[in-house]
Amino acid sequence: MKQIFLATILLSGLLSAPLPGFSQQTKKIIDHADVQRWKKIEQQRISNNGQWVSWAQMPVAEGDAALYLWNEAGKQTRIFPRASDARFSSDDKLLIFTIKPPLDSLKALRRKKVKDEDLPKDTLGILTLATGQLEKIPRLKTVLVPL
Amino acid sequence: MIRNTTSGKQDTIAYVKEFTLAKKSPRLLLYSTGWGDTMTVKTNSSVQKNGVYLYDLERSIIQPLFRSKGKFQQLSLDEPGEQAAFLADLDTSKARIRPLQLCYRESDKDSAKIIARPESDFLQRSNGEANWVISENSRPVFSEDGSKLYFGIAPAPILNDTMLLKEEIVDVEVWNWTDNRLYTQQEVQLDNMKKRSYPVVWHSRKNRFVPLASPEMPELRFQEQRNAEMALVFTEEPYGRYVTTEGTPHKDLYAVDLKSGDKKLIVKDLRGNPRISPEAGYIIWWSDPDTAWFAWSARRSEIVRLTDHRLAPFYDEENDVPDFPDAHGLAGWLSNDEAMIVYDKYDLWKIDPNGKKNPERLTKGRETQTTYRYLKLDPEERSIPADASILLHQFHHPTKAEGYSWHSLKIGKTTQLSGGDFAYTKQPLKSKNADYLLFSKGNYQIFPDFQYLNYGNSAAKPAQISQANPQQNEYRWGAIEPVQWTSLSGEVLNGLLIKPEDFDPAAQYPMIVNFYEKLSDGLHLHRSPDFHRSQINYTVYASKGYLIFAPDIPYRTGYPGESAYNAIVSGVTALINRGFVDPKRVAMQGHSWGGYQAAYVVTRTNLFACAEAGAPVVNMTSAYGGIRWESGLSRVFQYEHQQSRIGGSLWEYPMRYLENSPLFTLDKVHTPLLILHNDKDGAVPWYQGIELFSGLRRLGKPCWLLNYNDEPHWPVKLQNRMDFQRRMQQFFDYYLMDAPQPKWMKRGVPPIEKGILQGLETDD
Repeated sequence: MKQIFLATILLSGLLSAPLPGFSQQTKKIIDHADVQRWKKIEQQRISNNGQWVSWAQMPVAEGDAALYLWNEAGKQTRIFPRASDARFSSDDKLLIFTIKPPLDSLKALRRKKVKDEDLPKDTLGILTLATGQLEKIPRLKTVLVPL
Repeated sequence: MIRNTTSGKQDTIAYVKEFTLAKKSPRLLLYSTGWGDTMTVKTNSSVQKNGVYLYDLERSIIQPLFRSKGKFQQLSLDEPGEQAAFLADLDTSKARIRPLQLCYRESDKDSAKIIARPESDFLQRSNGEANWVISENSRPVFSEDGSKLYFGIAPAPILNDTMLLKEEIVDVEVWNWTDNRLYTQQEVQLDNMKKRSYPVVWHSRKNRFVPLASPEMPELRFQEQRNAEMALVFTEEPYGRYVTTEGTPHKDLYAVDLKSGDKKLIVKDLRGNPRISPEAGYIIWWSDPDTAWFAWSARRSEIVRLTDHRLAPFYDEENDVPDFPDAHGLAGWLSNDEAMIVYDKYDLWKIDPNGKKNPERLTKGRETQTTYRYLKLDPEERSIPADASILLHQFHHPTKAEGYSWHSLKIGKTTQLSGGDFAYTKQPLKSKNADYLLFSKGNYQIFPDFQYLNYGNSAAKPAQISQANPQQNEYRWGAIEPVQWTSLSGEVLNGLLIKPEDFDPAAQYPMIVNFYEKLSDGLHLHRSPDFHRSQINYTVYASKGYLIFAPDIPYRTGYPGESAYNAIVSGVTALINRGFVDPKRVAMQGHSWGGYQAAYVVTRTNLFACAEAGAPVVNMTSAYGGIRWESGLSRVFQYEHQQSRIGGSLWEYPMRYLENSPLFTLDKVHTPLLILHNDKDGAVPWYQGIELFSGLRRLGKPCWLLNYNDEPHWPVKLQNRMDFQRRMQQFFDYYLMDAPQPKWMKRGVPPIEKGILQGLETDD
């Protein structure tokens, strides 16, 4: 698992304003293909102690989701590629989520007529929030987490 | 696989068919066909056989509850994980109706016992009817206090003759005019009907079974915890035919005593949606014909009318369909059933369910035209403490500004937490044990990213923590503004206008008009580029240099077509008069009800250079008698009482049906038309689109029909949505932007090329 730490400075004013020096003439028209660049954010969660937030970010059209985890203490965002459906444990210690196979490779295998049961399956991700350590358990069907 | 996340200890139980976890303790109920020695946790039996087991994860004890040949299903635990229930099929014969048994494990007992079987008294029928069975489709449920167990029973299913060959089976539907529900509606509900079961409550301490519902009295609503000794039960059976004319059936409403099964009549012929209060002290409903809230007190067994619309309007003041206005709804209850919190258009009101105290207004929204709505921050909450501070969403009608406010129920004061020219989500999240809020806010310019707010600290400001679409800055975007004008009938109307980036008031722009009922409240909605199933994307078109105009349409009963014409044409003319609209390059786009209106308006004016009409009704005389295939409902109610707004039957108002139908005046059309209508449309029969296409084609007028095969009221499949958006854009670009005509418009795409060649290219 590639662990990506984003040390972005999140100032809302800066985010919404156009980049300085980016003149109006160079701005592009939103064409059909450009629409695919847009993302939606959903499945937002907040831990019981309020210190951790997670959400899934995915293309408005089609593609792999990514799971975002943010924490109040470090004001940092960590991204888990192809992960979604996360929830925090009630003791604020774990983030439990599903990692899906890459859509591209799934499609490529289906083009080769690989049978459904032989396609790659989901993986369970269990992240220990305090250490940042991620454990993965393959071939996930369902997971139940007590309250 | 079971993992203790604290110790890291892990165990595997093999061949698990079904499992469930208790809500409030780490106890697992599972059905395994036998797992041998795969576990570190040892049990008192050396070989684990087929059966149901209770696993106490805290104490690492696995207890066999029921070991036997056979199958088990519908496992259920009470909240502490002490009582268990499940269905067992221990019969070894091949009987087609399975003789299911209900098993129950009492707290602290070693095993589960069978408490109900096919021979049980409550399943026997004496009137010649076949005996009932325990339903495999209903999971047993414990009341929260554990005193009751609910499960489902059903009449024995009708069995077909498996000896018949396919050609020996008669394929006929019999539609009978006396059917309460139209045959097609029954057919849509067939799968549900096959799985339908009727609840029985079992009182564990008294070992008493009480059936609560039956086909004659099928609908039950419980108190949420299911602890109460009372539930509400109703039947719509005698009134099923009102679905055809009114859209919803009436109800005969009863209270059922869970101890005895006795039913007490509350009200007959009710038009409303009854609900049970959190403490089961009251059953309440909004009565449509009375335009009032009512409550039935369980203690006094009497109905009280709670509100009077002459004193306070709890109904939709802007209702413009020929039907009783809806209520603005119920926010919730104060603790101990003390009061209901009810909405009017703007405010929250406290209403005494006994009707003794006058309704009391809690907020002061009407004064400033601000609508306040309650935000339930605790998903487990069942009632609101009388001294709580509650979070409200606010919407200021004149500016469309939104935000959140705290309202103290104790001192009656409303204090704004956050607000501005943004749309704020109505689903903010609160951390369970601390004062943090997670929500999104955005507007036309700003994507609704997540905001994080420590509201416990009054100096804290929301911090943006996500940044989903930084690429937005690379593109031409545009801006939105509210517009007002005076309609042809002298009414002041509202709408939205989107202008391209670098808008120059001295230039003349092409414009697309898009409409559906009233859209002007959406001023601050962010409209991300997307491949929408049925509408133009405002942002994408503005980026290309189009103006977008979205006029609100108010209606007069009987004249939906003219109402639309009045609003749309007056709005377009008002904008043309402002000088920046190219009057030769104005188009319309609408879907469904909006598609109907686009088709109607082109029969009345040549103002538009082209139009797209999606899933339009063009012939109300044939659409009236059609079926909404998704629900199986007759379309009659839409015309008599709802969106289509004719206000009566085809035989009461034949001229209204004719005059509002574009089909009969298609010879007046001089506007090229793109039609979308899919052959699996379950709302508007696609023959409506065909009637429009055939009529225009017969008259020699340019038109195109897009039919995405097997798609419903709009294309759903991504590739189809992308294709539709691309063709629609090519169509508008051709008429409004002097773009070349694509092949599919010029010469079509014959079936031999379908799905292979798309005809999207142009000749040059």
